[in-house]
Amino acid sequence: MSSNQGNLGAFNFKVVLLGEGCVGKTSVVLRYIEDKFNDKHISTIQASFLTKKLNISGKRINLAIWDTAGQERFHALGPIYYRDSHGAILVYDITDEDSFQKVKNWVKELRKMLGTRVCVCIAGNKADLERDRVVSREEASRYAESVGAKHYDTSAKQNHGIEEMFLDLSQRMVEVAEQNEQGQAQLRPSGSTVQVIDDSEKPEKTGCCS
Amino acid sequence: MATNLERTPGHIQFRIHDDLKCKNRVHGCDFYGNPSWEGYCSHCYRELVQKRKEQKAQKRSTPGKEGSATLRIPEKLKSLSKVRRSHSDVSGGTPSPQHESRFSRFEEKKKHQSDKRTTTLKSIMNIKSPRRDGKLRSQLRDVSEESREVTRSFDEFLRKLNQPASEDISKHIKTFLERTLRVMLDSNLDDLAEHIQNFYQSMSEKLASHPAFHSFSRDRTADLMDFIEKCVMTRLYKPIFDAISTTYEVKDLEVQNRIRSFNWVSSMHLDCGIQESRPDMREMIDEAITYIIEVDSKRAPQDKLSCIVKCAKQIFSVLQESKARSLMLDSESSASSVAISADDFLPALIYVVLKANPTRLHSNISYISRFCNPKRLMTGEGGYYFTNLCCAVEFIERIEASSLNLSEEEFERYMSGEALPPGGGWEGGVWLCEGMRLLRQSTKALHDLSQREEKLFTHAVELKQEMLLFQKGLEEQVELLMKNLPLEMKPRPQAPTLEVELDGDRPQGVDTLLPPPLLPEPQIQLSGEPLLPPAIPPKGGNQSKPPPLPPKRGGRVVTDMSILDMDSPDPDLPSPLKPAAYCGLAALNNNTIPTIPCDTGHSAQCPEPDGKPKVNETVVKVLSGLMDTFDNF
Repeated sequence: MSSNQGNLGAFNFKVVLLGEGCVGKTSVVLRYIEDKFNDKHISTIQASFLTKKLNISGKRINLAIWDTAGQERFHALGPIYYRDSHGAILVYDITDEDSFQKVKNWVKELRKMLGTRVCVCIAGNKADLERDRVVSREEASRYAESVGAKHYDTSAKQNHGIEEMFLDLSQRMVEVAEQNEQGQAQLRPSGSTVQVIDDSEKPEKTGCCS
Repeated sequence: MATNLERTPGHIQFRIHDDLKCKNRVHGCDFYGNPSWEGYCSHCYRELVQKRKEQKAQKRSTPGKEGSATLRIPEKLKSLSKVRRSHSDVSGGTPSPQHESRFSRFEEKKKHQSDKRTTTLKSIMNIKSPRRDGKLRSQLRDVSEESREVTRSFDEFLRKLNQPASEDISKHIKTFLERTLRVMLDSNLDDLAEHIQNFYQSMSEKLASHPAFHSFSRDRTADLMDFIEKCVMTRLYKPIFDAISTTYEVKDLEVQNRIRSFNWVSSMHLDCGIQESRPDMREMIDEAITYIIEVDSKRAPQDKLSCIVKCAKQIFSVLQESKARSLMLDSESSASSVAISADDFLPALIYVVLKANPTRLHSNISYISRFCNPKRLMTGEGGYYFTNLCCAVEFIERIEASSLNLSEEEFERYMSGEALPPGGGWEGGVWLCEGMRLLRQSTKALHDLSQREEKLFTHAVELKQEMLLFQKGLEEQVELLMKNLPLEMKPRPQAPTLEVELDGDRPQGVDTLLPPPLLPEPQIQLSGEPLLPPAIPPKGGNQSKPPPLPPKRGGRVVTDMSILDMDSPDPDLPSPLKPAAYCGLAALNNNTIPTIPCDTGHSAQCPEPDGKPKVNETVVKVLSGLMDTFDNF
């Protein structure tokens, strides 16, 4: 269930966006999907569920990006949102220490509920407001590393760091998915009989053609 | 499980020993299993089912244990009475006096319970009913209107596919339905859900691997899967949903009562930025509410989902409208449209759910999450909105004072109906005047209706007049036609007598008989038969009778026209002509005798197309035109 490799070898990933209200989750994803920032015309009327198709070294990837409500009172609903997701982007505002603490909470929760299956990116948004920064970059990066996540400084306004972040996340999700698949492929034959363990690549290949 | 099944044929060969054997390893069964028998071989599966049945029967005889829904009536009733009906019906804006409210609460509860008991029993009966075999069969036959419709459209869709594929699919579905209805008796909801999910899985694998479907595009396959799901679930809806709604009955009622107790919550509390007091907003919100209520009336999971999606879209447009307005007030001209994020959407959805109070919310959610194709729930837009709906319900169940930005005290007072939230100025005032708003809305709707009725009436009168005019015109036209084309000449009755005369004349003398043979003259010339011309001139020269004849002929022809069919003239014309021709020609030339009758026979008909048919055609044309106009009316 985890890899979801569809008909023609396309990966379907669910990426959930978490973060406190007003840290710019929506702006980040809109910038990524439409390359637009709020002060231009935006054609979509909703930015809560967006999809993006990617092609990374021949692998087709469909990202479904789920925005979540960031208000504190909806915090308890998180698990419903990130259930079965393959990736998570945790956004905080570099000018707001509280929002970074929130990210830490999210990470804990995610790891508890989904373990290491979920790929996590931490985005310090509003990097254009460098002079108001209160969360130091070093601290954030160190923290991200300690929990097996990657940290990015992003700015939805200046379109900085967002493309890279999504690309890296997608690559990592592909890796995880492939590992899962291989793991399963290896687990299965080891059950009782079988000689043909070696063709561990085969499932992918045939998966692509079928 | 999923990946286990996602193998290609090539791999099956290697793992066949592993996976395909009967699951009953304990007893060392050596047969192959079958996914439709839960991985057992037919023998072991039968034993298993038998065992389960026995267990069930035992459970039924020893009440108190958790198991079939039948047992839970007492429990259910007990828990029902526990459902606190926090009665805060504050219609009219003033909380009712204490004792009165207590009494009405008691009464309502009583009524509620008795209602519930009947529905509980009913739904239990519904579950139990298929246990009888006869019923099962009748269930297979008695198909609801919806199922029939779905089946019809599915058939149409299948017809577009190639032969082996469509046959294969319909066969699969049929056997699956039969099997499921049979299995349903002995399995609980989770088993059933798994059973159906396995079916989806195996069908999609089949579509991917079967040679008959290789030519299909991905969209086509998706469509097909959609249809299969729709068809199957619409068909199985009643028994399944009955089972679900029995299981979740208590929860459904709890949520419903809870939502009812939140009737004082306004968009201000949820902070969702809906300007609920604006009448045009109200209408848009009402539309969203309609969509979400509609969910319960749909059968197939994807139809239910699409209702949710529609509701969500409507909420987005409501939010956008609100935002655009508030932005305009802030004189930010550039923002023509604003993207709505989940921060705004979820509160708005909660607001809509609170205002809509949809029936059987939990049952529907559980139905969708169990029986919908997982792909749709995992990746699609529908899945996202569905998740949001789940969140909204979850939130509603957990609402506390803090989640509405209220103090504990305030919250309690509102919940108990002692007080109403202070309306923030005009908005609150409008909210209090909910009744007035409805009244106004209804008056408007009534006004609209009466106007439309009037319009309809005038239209009807117009139509009537037109019809009368049309009738008159039609009559006139028909009369005119009748006058112009004197069809009533009715020479037909004369024709036979004439012919009879001719027949009778035959023996008397050749002279009187001669005129008839003249008939062929012009006809033969027309048809250009070389044989006869020589025979005719002498006759023409001999007789004085030819002149009177043409009118006769003409008359005869006209009658033919009026009848518009060839039956009656045929027997009339040839028969007299034959004998006539015989005599006439016999007198002249023996050799030609056989040929003439044939020709006359033909030629008797020939002139019709040549002579008057044009008139005939015009008559038909005019008539058919009239018929058309009449039809149009």
